[in-house]
Amino acid sequence: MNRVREYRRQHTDYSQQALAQQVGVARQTINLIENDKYNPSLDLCLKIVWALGTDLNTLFWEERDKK
Amino acid sequence: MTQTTLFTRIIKHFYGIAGPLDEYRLKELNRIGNTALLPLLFLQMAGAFGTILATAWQLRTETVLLTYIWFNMIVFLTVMAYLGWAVGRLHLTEREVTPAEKKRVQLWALIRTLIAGLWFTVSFHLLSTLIDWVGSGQTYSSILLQGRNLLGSLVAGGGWTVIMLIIALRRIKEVNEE
Repeated sequence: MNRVREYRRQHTDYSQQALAQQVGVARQTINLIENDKYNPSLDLCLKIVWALGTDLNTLFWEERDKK
Repeated sequence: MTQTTLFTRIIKHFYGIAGPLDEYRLKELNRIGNTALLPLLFLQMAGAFGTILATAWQLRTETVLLTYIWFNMIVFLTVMAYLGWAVGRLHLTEREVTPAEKKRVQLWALIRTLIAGLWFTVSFHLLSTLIDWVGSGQTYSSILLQGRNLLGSLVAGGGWTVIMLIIALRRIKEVNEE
């Protein structure tokens, strides 16, 4: 699960629409990403982290489950 | 966001996409388009093959031609219905607006639909007159001004405008800022 929504709400005053406009995608796409229903390309991930002023690890890193 | 090229504009216009044609939308449209294209190709081949067979069996040419036209029409309408359903199911054609923008956007949709309806009515009238004129022995202008034809075109144009307006207004969705 990515932390886009959590970071956006806690550290910025961007709405989904505002973030979508900043990044250049539809609001629907941001909503799908935040709900883990769509895996964005690396290019789009980078645009999101640049718009939110953070890095890839903060928003998208997941620890692999250890067996 | 993908660069706005003539191709992306055509795709947006064809599928009725409002807003940016981003990677998610493009990916889904590609999938929907491929799903529609493959059966369409096979059915087109089947229709052509059936027409060749019917011709070889020396069936009436007029019957074969009419059957081929109807077959193509049914295939075309089925594919268009699938495209409309698939795109609508993913909400790709929805135009999201804030409560403050809604009235203005609805008014714009009304104006654009009325202009499109007027264009449709005029084009329909000119084309249907052309079809009636071929082989009729009358002048084009006399058929153009016939009351029955004018009324038919107005009814067709009016019906088309109403349907397009309903579709355009249904696509406008109010979204609250999150």
